[in-house]
Order: sequence, then C-alpha cells, then structure tokens
Amino acid sequence: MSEHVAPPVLSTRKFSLWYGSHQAVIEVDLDIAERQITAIIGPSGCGKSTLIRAFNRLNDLIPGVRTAGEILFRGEGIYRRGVDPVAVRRHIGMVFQKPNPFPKTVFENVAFGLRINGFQGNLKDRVAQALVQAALWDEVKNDLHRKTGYDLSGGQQQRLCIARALAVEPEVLLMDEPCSALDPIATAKIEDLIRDLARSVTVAIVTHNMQQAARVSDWTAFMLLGELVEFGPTREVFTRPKDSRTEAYITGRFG
Amino acid sequence: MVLTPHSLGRAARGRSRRERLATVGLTTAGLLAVVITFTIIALFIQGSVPFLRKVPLGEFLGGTRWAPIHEPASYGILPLVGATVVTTGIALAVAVPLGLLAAVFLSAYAPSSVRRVLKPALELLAGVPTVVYGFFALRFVTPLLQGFIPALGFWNGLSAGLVMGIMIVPYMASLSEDVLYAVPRSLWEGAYALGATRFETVVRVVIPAALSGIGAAFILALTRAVGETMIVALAAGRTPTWPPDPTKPLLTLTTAIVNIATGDHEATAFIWAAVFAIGLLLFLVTLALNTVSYLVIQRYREKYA
Amino acid sequence: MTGRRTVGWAFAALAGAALGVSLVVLIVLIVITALQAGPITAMRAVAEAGISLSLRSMDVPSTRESLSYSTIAQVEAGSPASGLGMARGDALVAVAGVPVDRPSRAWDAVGAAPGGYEVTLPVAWIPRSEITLGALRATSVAGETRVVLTSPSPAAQGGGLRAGDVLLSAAGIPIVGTRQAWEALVVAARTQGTPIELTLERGGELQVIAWDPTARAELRFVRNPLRAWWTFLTTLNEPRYPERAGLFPAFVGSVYVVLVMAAVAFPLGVAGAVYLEEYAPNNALTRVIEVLVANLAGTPSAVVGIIGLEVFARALGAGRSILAGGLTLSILILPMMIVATREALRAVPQTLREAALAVGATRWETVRHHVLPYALPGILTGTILSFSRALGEAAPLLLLGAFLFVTYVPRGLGDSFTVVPLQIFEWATRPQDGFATVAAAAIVILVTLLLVLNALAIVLRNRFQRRWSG
Ligand SMILES: Nc1ncnc2c1ncn2[C@@H]1O[C@H](COP(=O)(O)OP(=O)(O)OP(=O)(O)O)[C@@H](O)[C@H]1O
Ligand SMILES: [Mg+2]
Repeated sequence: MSEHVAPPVLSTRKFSLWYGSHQAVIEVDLDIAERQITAIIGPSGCGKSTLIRAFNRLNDLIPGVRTAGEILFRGEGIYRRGVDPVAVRRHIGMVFQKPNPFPKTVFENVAFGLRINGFQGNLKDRVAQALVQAALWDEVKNDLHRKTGYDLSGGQQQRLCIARALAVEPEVLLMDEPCSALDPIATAKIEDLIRDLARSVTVAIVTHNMQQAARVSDWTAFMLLGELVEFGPTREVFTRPKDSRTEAYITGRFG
Repeated sequence: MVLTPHSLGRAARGRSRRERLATVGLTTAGLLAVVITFTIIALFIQGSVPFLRKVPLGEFLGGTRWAPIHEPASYGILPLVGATVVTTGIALAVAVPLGLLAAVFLSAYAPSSVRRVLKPALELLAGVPTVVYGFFALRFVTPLLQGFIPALGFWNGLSAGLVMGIMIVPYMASLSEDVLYAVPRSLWEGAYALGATRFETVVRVVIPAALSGIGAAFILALTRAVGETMIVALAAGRTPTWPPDPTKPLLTLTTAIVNIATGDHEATAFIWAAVFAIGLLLFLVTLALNTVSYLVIQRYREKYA
Repeated sequence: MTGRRTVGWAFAALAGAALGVSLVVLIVLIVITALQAGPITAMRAVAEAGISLSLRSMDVPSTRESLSYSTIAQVEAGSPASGLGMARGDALVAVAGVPVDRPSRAWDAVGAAPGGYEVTLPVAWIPRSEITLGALRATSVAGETRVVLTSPSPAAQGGGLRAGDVLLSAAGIPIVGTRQAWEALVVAARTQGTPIELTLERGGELQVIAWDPTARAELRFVRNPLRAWWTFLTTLNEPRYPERAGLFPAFVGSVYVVLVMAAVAFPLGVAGAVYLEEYAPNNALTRVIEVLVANLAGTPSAVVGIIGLEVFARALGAGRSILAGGLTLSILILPMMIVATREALRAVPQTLREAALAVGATRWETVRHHVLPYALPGILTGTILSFSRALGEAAPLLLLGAFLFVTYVPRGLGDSFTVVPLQIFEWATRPQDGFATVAAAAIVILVTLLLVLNALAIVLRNRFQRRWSG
C-alpha cells in the first residue's frame, strides 16, 4: 500500500483529554495522512471515540472536559484561542456509530449543511452529487422529497449520513464504528464506499473489527488505556507488530 | 469551491452575529428566574419595612388578635398561622395516606395497562381548578358535614381542609408514584429473589429506598396546602379566630391577603404593608420548603440515575 | 406462609381501595357539580318568557315571622310576559299551580312540569299595589297605624272595596303599613290561596270580604337545554339576576388574558429552557437558577398576585387591565413552561445534536433547525398543560383586582376584565337563589374546556411519539 508521502492533514501533539478527573486520552502523538485511511483500533473503553471526537471538537459539548497538548489541522491548532469549533467541524465531518439522520426528508438531510454554510451554487446538483458519492443515489432518487431519513433501512441511513457529511466537502471524514449497527451486506457496501472516498478525502475510522481495519485502512493506530501503543502502515501493524501488547490484541489474546 | 475557503477563524459574519444574539437572548431568558425571585424578595422586604417599623416583630409573630382595620388596630398573626396550620393539617391527614397508598398501588400492584390509564387520569384530576373544589366544599361538603356536626358553621376550616386534602391526593399520588417508579427494578428483583412477598418488598425495600423522595413529595404537598387560596376563601370564611377551631370560620394567611387586597383600600394605606409582611412570611416559608424538597429530589435522582 | 400472604393481600386491597376511593370521590365531585347546573334550562326559559324574579320578604311584627315572596324585578319589553300585562313590581304567586315563595320555586316548577321542550303553564300574579289596591294612606291613631284606602283602583272597586276603608288584615296577617297591605295580600294568596279573606273597617264596623286580586294567564316556556347553555355562554352578564347571567365577558376575558400570557410565557419559557438545557455551563449559577425555577413553580399564587398588583398594575401603570393580568399569569406559568420544555429537550437524542454540529452548524442553528423541531410536540404538550392550568387560576387575578362585576366584553389590552374562574368565585359567594346554579354551569364549561385541552395534549403526544420513534 501507499507509503508515507503525503503531509499530515491532522496531527496530535502530546494530546491529553480528561473527563473531570478521569484521563481518557494520554499524551497521544499521531499523524493522519492526506487522502489516506487511518484506522484506530483497541479494546473497548481505551479512548478511541474520545480521540476521534477530539478531532472536530465534539467533546466540547460534554461538561467537565479538559484538554492538554495540541491537535493541528494543516498546521493550525484547533484548540487554540480564537478558533471557532464551528469552522473546525465544517472542515472535519463525522459519521457516527448509529446512523443518526435528521427527522426530515432525504433531500433536506443532505442540504442542511450546505444551507447553513451559505452555499451559493446549485443546491439540487450538489445534493445529488453527494448522494452519488455515497452510493445512495439510485436507491433514493425517486423519493428525495417524499421519504424521511427514518424511512430508510439501517445501511441506507448510514450512507445518507455519509452523503450529508460529504455534501459540505470536508477535508477529513471521521467515522466512529460506522458499521457496527449494520448487517454484513450493508457493511460490505460501506467498506467499498470508504475505499472510494479516500480518493478525494482523508478518512479516520474507529473500528472494533480488526478484519475491517486490515481490509480498508492504509494506516493503523492501536490504543490501550488511553495511550497510543503503536502506529504504522496497516500491513506492518498486522503482520509485524512492534509492541507485544499489539500482538496480543490482534491475535485475539485479549480485548 | 463555492463554500468559504478553509480557515479556522470565525464563521461568516452574519452567522456569528446571529449566534451571539441567540446566546445573549437565551441567557437573558435563563436569568429571568433569578431576576423575578430577587424582585419578589426586594419588593416584599421593602414593602414590609414600614410595617415592621410600626409593629414590633414580637407583637406581629406572637399576637393573637388580627384586626388591621379596627381602632385600635392589632396585628397579631397567630390566628392566621393557626388557621393555616389547621386547614393544612386536615388536608395532609387526608392527602398523604391516600396519595401514598394510591401511588404504591399504581407502582407495585396495578397491571401496566391500568397504570397507563390511571396515571394520566390522576394528572388530569390534579389539574381541576381549585375554585371548583372551593365551590364543592361550600355547597356540598359543609351541608353534608352539618348532618353529623350540628355546630359546624356555614364557613369552617374542617370542610375546607378536607376538600383541600381531596384535591391534593392526585398531586401527592402522582409525585410519589414517580419516586417509587424510579427505584431500580434490580432492587425489587433482589428482594423477590430472597423470597420476599410483594408486600414485604414494597414495605421493607422499596419504600425505605424511596423515603427521601417521598419526603420531598410530602413537602411539595405541604407547600401546596399552605399556599392554597381559593378553597379557603370560599369555604373557610374570612374571620380571624383564636384559638383556631376547625368548626368555626377561619382566616388563613392567604385569605388575609385576599381580604385586604380586595378590600378597596387606598394604595397608600398602611394596611398594604401588612399584605407585604404576610406575603414575605409565606414566601420565605415556601422558599425554604421548596428548596429543601428540590435538593432532596435532585439527590434522589442522582442516586438512581 | 399463609399469614404473610394474607397481610400482602390486605395491603394490596387497602392500596387499591385508596386509589379507587380517591378517584371515585373526585369524579363524584365533578358529577354532582355538573348536576347542580341542571336548573339553568328552566331558569333561562323563565328569563326568555320575559320575567326576572327577586326574593323579598315581609316582616310580621306580631309573630316576628319573615314571610318570603317573589317580585317580578324586571319584565323584558316585547316579551310574552309583558304581552300579558305583567310589569316590574308585580308579585308572582304561582306557576303551574305551585306556590312561589322564592325565585327558585318558579324555576323548579317550570323545570318539573311534564311536557316537551315547549310547555304552556298557568301563572298567577298580583299586580303592584297601585293597580291592585290604589292609593293608600297610613294614619296613626293612639299609637296604632291604620291603613286607609283613599282612592281604590278599578280592580279594588271591582273586588268590593270602597274609598275610606281601613284595611286590618288579610287571611289573618295583620296589615301595619301601606306597603304591608299589598304584601299581606301576596303572602296570603301564596300560603292560603284565593279568594282572600280581607278584614276591614268600613264606617266604624268590621267587615270581612272575600276577594281574589290575582291575575291569571297561560304563559309559554321554552325549555331547550342546548339553547339555554349556548345563551349562557354567549350573552353579556346581568349581575343582578342569575337567570340572566352570562359567561361571555368572563370567557372573552379568559381568552385574552391567556393569549397575553402565552405571548409572554411561551417564548420566555422556551428560551429559558433552551438556555438551561443547551447553553448553560455546568456551574453553581446554573444550579442556583434551577433551584429558583423550582421555587417559583411552588410559590403560592397569592404571592404572585401581590407581585402582579405591585409591579404590573401599580409600578408599570398597567392598572387592573388584561395586560397586567396576562403578565401576572405569565410569572405563574413561566416556571411550568421551563420545566415542561426542559423535559421535552432532554428527550431529544444527543446524536441528533452531534449530527448537526458535525456538518458545521453553530449551536443556535442546531437548536433552531433540529433540536426545537424534534422537541416541538413535547413542548406543545407541556404548553397546553401549563396554559390549561393558567385558565383555571383565580387567586392571582383576584388579588390583582380583576373586576368581579364585568358586564361588558373587553376589547383591548388596557380594558378591565374578569375571567371564568373568578366569575365562578363571584357567583359561588352570592347567597341568592340561582347563583349556585350558574356557578355550577360555568364550572361545567370550564372543566369541559380543560378536558378538551388535556385530551388534545395527550393525542399530540401519542401521535408524535409514534411518528419519530421508528
Ligand atoms: N461523557 C463521558 N464522561 C465521562 N467519562 C467518559 C465519557 N465518555 C467516555 N468516558 C470514559 O472515557 C474512557 C474512553 O471512552 P471511549 O468512549 O473513548 O472508549 P472507546 O474506546 O470508544 O470504547 P468503545 O469501543 O466501547 O466505544 C472510558 O473509560 C469511558 O468510561
Ligand atoms: Mg466508542
């Protein structure tokens, strides 16, 4: 697979995060390369979701959250003063574990981000383009204004959420276990989709499923108890892990 | 690219201005409760000052004669406090056992289909206007009671208190039911697993676990009874009596306020100061009770969240 | 083991009985009250025949008795009653053969008469003194009042009375004054029927003549309950006569006051709740606000009424107007609105907020476009319940000094007003016959309205719960 050629879009510098007094992320240093897929794996509760949510400051919503260190987006610290988290999220989109469409029509789901961001172009085209990108267009093109997000199947809902995120042309797409609520067929579709997307956008994906990480990602980060234990090209991490804890995890000895 | 080019500074000017505006507006609305409360306190203290300057606190709180428009005027509040205690006591004696038992029945015994129907029905009944209960007390309960107690006056504290109790039953039942329902199922199951009957589970495990919440519900019922105005204004009469006798007309703290406020006195008359003094007393008492019950319920919720 | 079972069952029975008894008592209360409103149909029938009655009484000094009778206090021009020659000041003595001692007797007689919506019943009345008797003069002879008929009316002449007759008693009721002469005839006609044995002194001699001064006619009454209730709801209030009582001014007053309250309490309540739920930092100030909101919700309405009077009516100069009333009620309802809205906001899934934020929405855009629309049914349910509570509130408006005798329909925010619960309070405190009936009728209307609103809230909740829970 690809080598470490592209400059990092996102990088963390000794990034730590506390929920009240509990430290969930401990001094993590990680680079996420442009237009590549980085998978974050690790046992439950090790801080994967916390870290990925830190990338677009969604943790700001949780009372009592404190951070230290830095996360740089194209060299700019997103936790620095004067940075508007709204602008951060506009460039760094997210897809969640459980599909969470808005209780509105399919069209409005995708158009919302464009509308609030003051999109000037042809709204219909852009919505259609996002739906095509998310491989959902053929299934919903006749019901854009009739069906609500809730009327779709689970896999369709998740692809709608991906289309919604893509519509505003984010530079990074964060995905937190996007397939864990889906059946194997829907999962396969999304995995294909993620590979396609990486041609135009940087993807960071959290997954519990090591096969999935091995199948889709270029880079893999392994976390344990809030720490980043190992980070490297996916093939290496899975075939020649440097750390014995990584090896124990991927061979299924714990987790 | 038609969207704004990437930069992590502020979003477009219109949007961030709207955002600031919304924040300011919403914060103001949020602070309104504080403003209202302090206005009430300030107003009542300011209004009571002339009263407390003229009437010594000891005479106000310890006096047994309330005659603000007589010559010489007398401002002993004990008859009003006594009347409130009598009507509230009667009301709670009815409402607390009935409400609590009804809540136990709903949460422990009633099938869920019955519960689904009766809970909203209770809430509906709790919303019947109090003036309706007052009418009922005056026109039916008093004549009914006079059949048993010939000495009972046309206006009396007994019938007002009883009807107030009936009125509070749904309120007490609904509050206690919420509290009992919040006791985790695991606690019930733990007791069942030890071979306890349903009765033993309720009495030995669930009620003790819910005791603080039930206490808070009791306090809320109490403040409701203390603050009730229309039932006593209609059925208990407007005569200050000392010592308070439930078979005779009574003047409660709330009806004393109504009496003066509807009495066509000059806005500058000294008697208004008495309204503020009584109002301040009522407000402080209910403030204390409400705060205690709120904090207790909050703690209770956290315990079983 | 069986002992434990028995105790358990006894307890279950007790708890069930407590719930059952409470529900039954409450429902019986409302049903009894509704039944009290029954006579309103007959009352309106009498009023529409043109007659308003009021209770009078005659004192009999010798026996210290007080004998009641009903005068016709008002006869509507152009009504059937005025067509029969009835007029203000006449006394109604019998309806359908039932002697009328007090107004409610006449209404009951009309209500109880067999027949359909329309009945034609015999009525008997004694026209006012000038027509029945003529001119009278009281003279005092040796400390005793003697009532002399100075100029008999045609009716009196027809009955055999002459000028100069001294009227002594009617059916044993002594006549001690000019007013009592006629009253004695009225009371005698009611208690002992006609003809009346009238004892008089003519030319120094006692004479007894039998005389029937009553006028009789057939009067048509329309006993239509629908029409009676509709008229009650839609006519102006005539505060003196319960049969002409109307709920319209109070109803309009209630609607206006609740609208003003809604305009204030709805936005502020929702905004306050959004602040507490979506914006407020997790700090001491926020907790203080929460305690104060809970406190305001439990503040006695009498205390809120004083605030209304002092701040809105006096300090802000709104007077005893609809504006002041609406503002006062909004203080009462604001905390309820906040609590209800917060509950609805708490039911909005966190993932919905995250989804909006993740595409670059600001906090306000998230709230405005996603959180509020999602929570709207819940907010509306809470709003309806709070508003129906406000619709029944009387105490704060009583203190504010909402007028109890409003006989006109308020037109603007600055007008004085009354509201339905206050009108009920006012009617409930009136001792005269019939006011209890109209109070009960107003209660029926108010409680029905609240039931409808509550049902609406429940329907709303159920419908939207189903829609978004898929
Ligand atoms: N809102 C929160 N408040 C307090 N602690 C939290 C919160 N969210 C997560 N935590 C804690 O932070 C740690 C990391 O949680 P996180 O959700 O990031 O784990 P994860 O790796 O995503 O787990 P999973 O695989 O189960 O999703 C855990 O110990 C968790 O208990
Ligand atoms: Mg996770």
